[in-house]
Amino acid sequence: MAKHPVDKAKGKQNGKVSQKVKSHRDFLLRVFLFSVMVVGVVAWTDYWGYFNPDYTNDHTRRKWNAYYKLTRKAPVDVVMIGNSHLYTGMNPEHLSNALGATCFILASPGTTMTDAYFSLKEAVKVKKPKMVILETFTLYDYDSHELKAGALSDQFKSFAARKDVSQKLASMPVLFQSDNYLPAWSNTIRNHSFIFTDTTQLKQNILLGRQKPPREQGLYLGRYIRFTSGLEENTLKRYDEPGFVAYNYAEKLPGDEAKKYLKKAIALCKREKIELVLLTLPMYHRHLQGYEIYKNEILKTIGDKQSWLDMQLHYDTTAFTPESFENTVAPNQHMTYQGSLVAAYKLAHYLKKYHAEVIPDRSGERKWIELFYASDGFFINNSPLQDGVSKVLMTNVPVASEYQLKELILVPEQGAKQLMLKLVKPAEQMAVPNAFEVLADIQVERQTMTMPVKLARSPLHQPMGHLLYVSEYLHPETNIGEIKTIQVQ
Amino acid sequence: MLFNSFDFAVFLPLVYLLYWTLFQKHIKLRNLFLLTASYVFYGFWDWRFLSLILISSLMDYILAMKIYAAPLEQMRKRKTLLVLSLVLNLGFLGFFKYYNFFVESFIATFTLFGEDFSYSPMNIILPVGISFYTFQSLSYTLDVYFKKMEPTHKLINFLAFVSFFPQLVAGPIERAKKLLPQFDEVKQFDYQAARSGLLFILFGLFKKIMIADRLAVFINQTYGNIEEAKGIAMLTGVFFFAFQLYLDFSAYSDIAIGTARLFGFKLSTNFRRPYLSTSFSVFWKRWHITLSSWFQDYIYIPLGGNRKGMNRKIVNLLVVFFLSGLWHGASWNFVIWGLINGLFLILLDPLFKLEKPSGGMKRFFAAVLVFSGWTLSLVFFRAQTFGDAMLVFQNIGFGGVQALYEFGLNSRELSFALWLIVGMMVYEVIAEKWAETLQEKFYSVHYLLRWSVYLILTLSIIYLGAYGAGNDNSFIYFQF
Repeated sequence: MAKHPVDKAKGKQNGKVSQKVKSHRDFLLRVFLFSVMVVGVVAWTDYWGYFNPDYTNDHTRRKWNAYYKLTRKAPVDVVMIGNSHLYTGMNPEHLSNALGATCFILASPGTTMTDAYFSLKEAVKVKKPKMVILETFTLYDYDSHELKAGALSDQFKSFAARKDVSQKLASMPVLFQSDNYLPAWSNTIRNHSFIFTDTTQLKQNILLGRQKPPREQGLYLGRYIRFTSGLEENTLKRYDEPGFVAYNYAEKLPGDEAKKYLKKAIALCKREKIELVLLTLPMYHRHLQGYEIYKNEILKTIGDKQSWLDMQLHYDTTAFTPESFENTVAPNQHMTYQGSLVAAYKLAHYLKKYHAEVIPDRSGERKWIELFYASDGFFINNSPLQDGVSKVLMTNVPVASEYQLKELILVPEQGAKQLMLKLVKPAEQMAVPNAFEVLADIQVERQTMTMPVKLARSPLHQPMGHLLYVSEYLHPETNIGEIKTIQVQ
Repeated sequence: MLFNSFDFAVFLPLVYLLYWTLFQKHIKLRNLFLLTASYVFYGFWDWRFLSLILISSLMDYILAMKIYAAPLEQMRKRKTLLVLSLVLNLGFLGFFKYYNFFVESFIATFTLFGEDFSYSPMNIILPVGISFYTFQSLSYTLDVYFKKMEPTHKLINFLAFVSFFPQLVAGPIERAKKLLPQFDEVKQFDYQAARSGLLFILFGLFKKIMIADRLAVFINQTYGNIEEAKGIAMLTGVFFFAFQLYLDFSAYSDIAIGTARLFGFKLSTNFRRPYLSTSFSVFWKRWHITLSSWFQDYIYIPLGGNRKGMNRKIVNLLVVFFLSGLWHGASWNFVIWGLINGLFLILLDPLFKLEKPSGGMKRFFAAVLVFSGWTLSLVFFRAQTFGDAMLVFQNIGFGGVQALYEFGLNSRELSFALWLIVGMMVYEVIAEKWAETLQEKFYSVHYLLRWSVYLILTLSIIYLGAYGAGNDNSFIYFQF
């Protein structure tokens, strides 16, 4: 039956109206669905880590992983915040050993004071430490929104390594200009250029599937050994050149943003009742000038009441030798492994002298001793592979048919070398040897000779389940070849 | 705010949703909202220069009404008012864009005659888009003066017309006659328009981020190190720039057109496959069409156009190309670039009989000739100084293939860039053949295929695009 013209018109009109409403909703729904699909694909590649950088070099992520892991099972007493100057120039294991407290370095390369502040905020939120040590090399003139290339990449790394989503969201507008929000959150967006520039990493990521963070071997407190040899003669000669200055602090005065976030860090520590100590690790004393001007600029901002161990202003020429510094005249000079040990013990001394009441002494706590078992500094016999400095000579072999040798290693120690032997603690009925004699091919200054080295039992170190035997200090260039015999003395 | 920025990715959906949900039904409120959104859009770059747009717009709004109100017999008054509008508009443009250039040129001229002046250039910030919105606003007073249209009495509409954010900073330069009435229309959501708008935006982003910004890496390196860029590296840099400029600017126009469509506005086409042009005259009808037509309507034709003999036509053309060059930038290089293109049009079109080439091969060679001439002229457009441009010409060659990968793009990315250019040109040929029906054909295919195309384009931008730290992602025409 044919419809009445008025009904037809109504139907058409209704149809048109309803279609229009539906159309717009339909349009929005489709746009939404499409956006979900796109975000889903990116999230998927993020999840599988196809565009992740090589984890083994991502020390900032390792530090944060280790920090979260450590704070779950033990308190962290001292948190140290800074950039590469800190993690190469301070040895947290030795510092912990000297203080009898747990000290952790949460530093990332190239970090600014702003980034350091947000790292501090998250660290405090995870577990409130007793003390925060802030290294001052993060204080220079920068604008977080204007960072380019390497500095921006470092800031991305630091941001990506942190885990607390709310903290990250709060820090995002401060650390990045809006165009960098998405790269900050997504490895896919940040590293999409791998498709052209690093297909090896991309292939590796795809083949391996989702990369797990590297499992730490034992305790990891954020140390990173980068330099093991100090300033060489040729480099030292550069300092004799008239007018040569590698780093002029007077030209690197802290900018407004750095000052602002230093003040915020101080306020945060005050609010949370955390002791704050500023720390300046040195560069070689002939490397720089204008440091007083720089320091005065900071003092103008924070006053002179703030506890501050300044190893640059109060440079100790006997303790910090050319061996303590990276062999470079580039402005950004780091410390060596040797320098980091000196700095650690100087800091420990300062903290014991001025802040002893804040830091707990856990050296008698079994749980703490267990935590530090076999770590560098505590028993000296650190895992030699950790920093590539020590050399493993033997592992897990029987000695004199009664004893079990755990490790025999050659360790650089205080500008010399020491041979160390770790023995599995013998059963109670067995006699404890007082010393061992190792007969080996010893090479010193291109001469090799077979000779015995005596290792006496160390009264200072008592690793759990093991005994430690150490030699006298050997020539720093000593190398040990074939081990002929190991005899009980 | 850049179209390819995170800010815009947040701004656009927000403005879109508010526009269609809260303001659609009330025209005045809607236009006020669009005006506010446009000012926010511009203010993201530098809010201080909003006053400049506002003053310029208010002046033209008032002057146009006064011009229209003055009886035709009061020619002197009408002319005075028009001159006032021209002086004020061009005064702003002249000061911000050309002050240093004119003073330096003036001093250079006198120095030739032995006079010695000491002058340090003023540190003047060039307001983004000033050349575009000044021309758009000027066209309004000129049209009212020539009685081509009546002035509007709706201030908000006029302010929104001058500052309409999709085309505010880099065009298309719209005529009041076309765009202004659209602010009076009741807007109904149009699914087809919105859908095609999004496709325009997506396609624009693809051209910009995938191709233009990738080519920019190589071009910035070669033009930034002219001494080192020799042989084929320099040639590639020169060749790439022709594509970068086209894809960068046409991408901006596409996104502008697409964005306007989302709000129910229609903007003019600004590019129509210019690199398929078989003559220079056709090229200028396809390249930056809204600017070319502006110069044609307000300079060339009032000067007499081609109605006063061949000599006058040549002079008129040279005047137009001189001004077009100057419009692009305050440098003699731009003027030279403009004049070269004027001479190409005057000399090469008749010499090679390019106007009407017959046969496929002839058309092909004509297109190659036009493209080559244009590409070479762009050396003056891109080089910082006349000396640099000369050095570029000296360095162009076919040797030094090994050095090709030392200018920011590795072999993989360079090959990819070349394939993208080839792909883009194939698309242009197809689009030329099917012209207006291409979109219809696209929308008639199965939706799964269409969605696949959308997804491929989007994911290509994300995974293969040239963006991130170290990439310059601004649009070239922002500087004009």
